[in-house]
Amino acid sequence: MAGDAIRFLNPDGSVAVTLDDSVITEFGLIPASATAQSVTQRATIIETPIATARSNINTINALFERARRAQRDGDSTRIYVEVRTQTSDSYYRSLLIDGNITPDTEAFSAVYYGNGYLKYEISFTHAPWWEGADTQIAISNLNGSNNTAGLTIENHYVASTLDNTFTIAAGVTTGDAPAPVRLQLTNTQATALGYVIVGVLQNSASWPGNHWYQGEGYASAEPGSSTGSNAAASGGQYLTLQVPGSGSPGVSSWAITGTSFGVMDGKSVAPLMRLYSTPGATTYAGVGVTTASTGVGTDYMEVGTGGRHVLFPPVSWPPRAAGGTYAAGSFTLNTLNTGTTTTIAVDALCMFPTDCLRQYRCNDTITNGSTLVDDGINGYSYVTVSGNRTPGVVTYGTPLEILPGLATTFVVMFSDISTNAMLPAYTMSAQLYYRPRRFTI
Amino acid sequence: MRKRFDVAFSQTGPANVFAPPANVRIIPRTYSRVAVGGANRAELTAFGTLEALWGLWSFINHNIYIYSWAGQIVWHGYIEKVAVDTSTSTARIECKGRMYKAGWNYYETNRGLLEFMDVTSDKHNLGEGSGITRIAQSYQLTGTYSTWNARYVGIPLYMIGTRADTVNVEIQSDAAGIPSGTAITSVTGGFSAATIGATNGYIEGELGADAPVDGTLRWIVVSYTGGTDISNYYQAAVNLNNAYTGGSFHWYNGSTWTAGQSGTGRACDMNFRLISRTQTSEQMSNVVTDIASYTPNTINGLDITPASGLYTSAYRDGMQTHWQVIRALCETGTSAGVRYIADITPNGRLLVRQEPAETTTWTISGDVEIGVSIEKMSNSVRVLYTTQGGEASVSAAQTAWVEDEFSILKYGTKSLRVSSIDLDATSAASKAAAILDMTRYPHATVDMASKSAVVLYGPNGQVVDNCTCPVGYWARVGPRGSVINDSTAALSASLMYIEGAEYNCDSDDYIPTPRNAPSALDIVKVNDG
Repeated sequence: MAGDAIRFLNPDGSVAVTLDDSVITEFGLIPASATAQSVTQRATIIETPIATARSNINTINALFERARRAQRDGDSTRIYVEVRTQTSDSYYRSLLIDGNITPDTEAFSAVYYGNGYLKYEISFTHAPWWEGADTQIAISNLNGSNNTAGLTIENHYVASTLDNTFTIAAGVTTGDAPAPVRLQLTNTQATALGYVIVGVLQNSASWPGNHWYQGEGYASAEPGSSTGSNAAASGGQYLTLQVPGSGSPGVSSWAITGTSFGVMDGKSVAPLMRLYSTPGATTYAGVGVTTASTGVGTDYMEVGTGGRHVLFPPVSWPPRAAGGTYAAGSFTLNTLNTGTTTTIAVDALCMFPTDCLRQYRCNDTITNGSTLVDDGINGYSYVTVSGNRTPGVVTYGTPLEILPGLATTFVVMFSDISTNAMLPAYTMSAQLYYRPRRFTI
Repeated sequence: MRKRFDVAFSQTGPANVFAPPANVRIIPRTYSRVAVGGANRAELTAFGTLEALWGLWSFINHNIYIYSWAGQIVWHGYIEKVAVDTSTSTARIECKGRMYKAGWNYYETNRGLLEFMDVTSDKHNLGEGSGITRIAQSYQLTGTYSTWNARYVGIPLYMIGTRADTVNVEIQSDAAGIPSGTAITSVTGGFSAATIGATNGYIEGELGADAPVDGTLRWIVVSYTGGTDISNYYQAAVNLNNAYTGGSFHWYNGSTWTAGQSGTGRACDMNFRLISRTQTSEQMSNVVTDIASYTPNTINGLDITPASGLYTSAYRDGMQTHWQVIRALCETGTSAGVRYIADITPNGRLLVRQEPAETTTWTISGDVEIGVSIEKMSNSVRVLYTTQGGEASVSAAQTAWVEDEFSILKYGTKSLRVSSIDLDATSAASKAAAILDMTRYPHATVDMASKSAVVLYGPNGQVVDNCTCPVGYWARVGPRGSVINDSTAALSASLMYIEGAEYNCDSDDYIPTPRNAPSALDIVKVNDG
């Protein structure tokens, strides 16, 4: 191929060896596949002078060994190989997994070696994708459109004013393979944050935040319950929900519009219940989603005395996909209390989409001005404090990724680590990056 | 297809987790759960340099949390073993659920039993010609103790000759070292003389109300309703060694209380036993409190519903571990004859609930080989049990046969005797009913372990994520939403109670274990006969 080239990179991203069409005599690029764990490529090289060839072979072999060790040890060393198919194209990179170099059977013949050439074959195994240059994605919400400077994310949703979601418009991202993202969330207020949860919906359209936020201003029919108002509550309101004692289950439910069901079209949501205050006693709660004909639900989860939010297991939204428009249904909060009658202060429930669902517990807290970086591109997370990385971030759940071209919605909430409170006053700003990925280049 | 899992460690709870070392990659392989105890076992593989793998030894006994793709904690327990394989540069991490840690220590409590039963051949007359109308023994707790309430009182009491009156036993407060004359409570109706043996007798009765047992001196006062009789009278066992340090023996002649043996004045003690009547759910709470003092961050609290309604002695002699006691109390269940199931939350709270009724069923579909067996079926159950008490003072009894007539009509009588300890008549009967309920019909024999396409649907037909590894529910094998109408006399072989389950992370296989399947999960064989 005219203009094709293979580059092997050092761990710092600098180019260690370039093999271009002046030395590559045979290289048929095998496309990657979504189902494969890796892809192996082969290239035949005829290089001169021999000393240069030997030097390159040594360098490439050393990188292969580092790649193998990185795979084995799981450390942050990442060795990439870059490929270009013609001179006018950009290089695309892939993660190097393994490789070896074999002298050709005629390598030491008079034709090659005798004339100062070394002929050898490089075989290298890489991740099943090729990715382009690091690119920032413009994101939007109620606080701005196509933002790249840092989009404000509030910790609750209030119609037309405050937003805890952001979206990527359809057609913005490119490539043909799912691509991990690097999400940067910077704390923009005084209280140090220690817990962040992010859910991602990959869909044909993005949706406003009101569909994610449920139960705001809800008045429960459960005896002894009441609504309260306080600026420290999400949307200025919270529900003091009475939880019957002695194991008698309590049930509260509120209507869900068919439009909200249509947002997910049967995909799963993980409901997060944020509490206005710390419960005085341990209780248990489960959630359910019902329509006229069917329902789904979760088992009881502990609502402990040390927490201010509870994440429930995913439930289908609505219970079964039907496509098109949906009839309205209801969302149910079931409570169980084995002690005497008590109350929990339910602030609101936020439905997190689960195409990706990622949680971050930051033992090195995110102080004002610090940034939580979930670098899915390179596979690690950290908090930057004054330019330094502090790696004390425990991540769990599905890594964040985008599907190229699709509208994508990110739902975000965060809490401090000292009281686990998800106060409405907390804010962060978001920036999003990716490297467009392709199966074929 | 393998799902994504994450792993974190903690020395306390899930709010204080930290990631494994960066140079070690840990992958869960399998984990299992059981209906009574929740998280059971897990095995993980660690990859890394040998130095990093050896470093994992420092995390032994740390709590470990396995998170699902959705960030839910699907398994949690503690690291029990790390086995490094230098040839492959991997390590096998073996973990156990917290219930195992709750079994590290033996549970002993004097809460529920106070006795001085060092019985010798010495006796003290009551009601004979010398005019002794009452005898009394004082008691109190000494040293380190937890206060409790006595509900039963027992004394070795014999009869010489023949009497036809009634013996009354009262608990009285103390008044300057003698009984006050004011009854706190008494054995309802007393003891008819006809129930008192001639030699080596022992009478035990239930008090009309709880009697506090603590550091305050109180008295067991024994009297009778008839007159004195030089030939026909009662004798109580006493010990002339004066070895009981919590009180002393006094006798009453109708006007004055006198300490020591009548006639010699020798200090002595009357043998006696005070036994509590504590609801089993409260006993479970006491055990949980004790666990926290021995093995912190294991089980930190109890949430139980409903209260059991069963009352037995809380005394435990230290022959069983904390978890064995909890498990036995779960299997005894409630007064409704339903056993408890138990789960431990990630925060370490023990959530105890009644086993669900078989009216709500889940559905298991897929490649399942199913059959039916009467091998472990029983439709006539009797519990042989011993009551609580010190090693030298337990008594044996048995329940009546508890039977299911429909099952007997259909399958013939299949009897089962189960032995158990630390029960009373009511709780033993309840246990027999609970066991009958679990074994009265043929059980399913299910082979899912060799299959790979089991799909689980919840009660409403929703697909249940295999990696949640649910247990403790009734299920049918069939297509989603299948309804098989069975009468109680002929429950379908496809109906089964899922007592345990294992999840294979590599293959995403969920492998449920039905009750009575031939495995270590068999509830009858664990602690009982």
